[in-house]
Amino acid sequence: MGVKAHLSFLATFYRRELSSLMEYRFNFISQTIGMFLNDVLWIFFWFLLFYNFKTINGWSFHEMMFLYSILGMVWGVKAGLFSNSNKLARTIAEGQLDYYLSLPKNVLLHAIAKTGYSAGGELLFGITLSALTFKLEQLPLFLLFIITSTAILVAWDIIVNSITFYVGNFEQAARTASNILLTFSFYPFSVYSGATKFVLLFIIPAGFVTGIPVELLKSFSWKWLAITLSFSLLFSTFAVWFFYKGLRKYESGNVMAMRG
Amino acid sequence: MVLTKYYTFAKVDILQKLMYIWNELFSGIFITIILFIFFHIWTTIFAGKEVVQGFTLVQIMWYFALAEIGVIAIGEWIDQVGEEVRTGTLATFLLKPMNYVGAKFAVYMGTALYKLLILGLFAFSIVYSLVGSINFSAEHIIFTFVTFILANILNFVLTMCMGLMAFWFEDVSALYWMYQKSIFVMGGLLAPLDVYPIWFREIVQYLPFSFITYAPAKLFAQFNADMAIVTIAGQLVWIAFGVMALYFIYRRGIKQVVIHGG
Repeated sequence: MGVKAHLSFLATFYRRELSSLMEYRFNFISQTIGMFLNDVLWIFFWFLLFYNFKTINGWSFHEMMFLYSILGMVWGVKAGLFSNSNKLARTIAEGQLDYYLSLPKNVLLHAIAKTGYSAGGELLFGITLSALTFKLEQLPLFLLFIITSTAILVAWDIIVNSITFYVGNFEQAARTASNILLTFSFYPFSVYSGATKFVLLFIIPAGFVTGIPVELLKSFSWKWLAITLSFSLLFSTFAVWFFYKGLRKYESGNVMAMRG
Repeated sequence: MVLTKYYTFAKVDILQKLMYIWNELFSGIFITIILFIFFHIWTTIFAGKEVVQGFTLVQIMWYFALAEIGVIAIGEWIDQVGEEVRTGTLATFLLKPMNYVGAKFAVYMGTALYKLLILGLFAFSIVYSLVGSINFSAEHIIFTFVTFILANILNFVLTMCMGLMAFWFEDVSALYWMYQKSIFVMGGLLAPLDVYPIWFREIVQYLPFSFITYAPAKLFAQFNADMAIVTIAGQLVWIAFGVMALYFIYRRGIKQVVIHGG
């Protein structure tokens, strides 16, 4: 499949996903409002904490607004486009990849593509907060980080879920690993140093999801921008390679199922 | 005799969980990671200071240990109640000589106690290895345990009220997210209420959220007999309100159930 064919496939796919969400309009609206308020409570917490402490190792409430703008947008884009990425372990373990293998479409892309209910609320929150936080000249960098951070989050999901190809049942471990990366991304990156910082950049790359982008938006550095872009590209390439390498070990589930 | 059947429910649930005890390893890893993050944040905030907002670093880490156990132990069980109401599985309970809410309560408390033991092992070990021990007395442990149990009862009553709202709404998860985040912020899970501005603390300290997380964890970190009495009284008052609301919602909701034959 060429790029054009991929784009056309995705456009049709997401159009159908959207109409499917609209079938359950009440759920969609209630979850959008719920998720938005849920995120507002997070940022309200940081407002309260910084009310007394002002800064935590150079990060103030302003940096947390940067962080949550990125996180809201990234999580919204991920939930909107690839919400099945953290369900891949179950799909593999239960032999449900058969469905995707039998179609002339990109297997990985097709298996992780899905629009989740929470996407609307996250995007609404991300857009609102970033409109309050960013200056216009910061917008290109911010948009670039939405792409790199989403790529890292999705790649991490693909890697930890693809371990299922080698060990069998890895669903709960993959879910925990997925949560761990996200959890580290919720808190100020300025509190880490030395070996912990290294681990959070290159082993569990939470630092590249929110920490480094916030630092770069605060004070720009070509060196760290290059590192972030290279890491995001290499990490995503590795994830795709790791999935297809694992796929060679895949055993069909021989499952007869209807896919809704 | 009446209580034996509910006890059996709790026992069966614990036995089932014991069969898959390795699953708890992942909750254990997660609580370890959270406490590790909090340790870094609060070490930075303390930055050489002995006491911050009335807490030492040792006390605040033991505070977080108990607060996190209380919240992670329960998880998102509300989904199950919502599903049973929505799909009508609840109707099968109406045929049995037991109360649906009572059966749920037995399973919930069984899970809470079981997870207190398992997650406690992880949380207390990591906190001990990071900051060392705090001083415990017998009354300290007994009162903390009593308030922890009452906090779980209060949490059960409130989440059950939300779960049963599925009688009227298709999906109650959005309601639960907001409740959960209220526990995070107003309940003192992310930071003890003592570090918040006074105007905010004065409002939220009387809300049920603080009696679920903050009060038992604060007692655990800084035991004080007067505070123990006030906490227990507050928890009992909120439980009484919660039970009345639960009774009302259940009675009204159950009338919505339509049972077809077959």
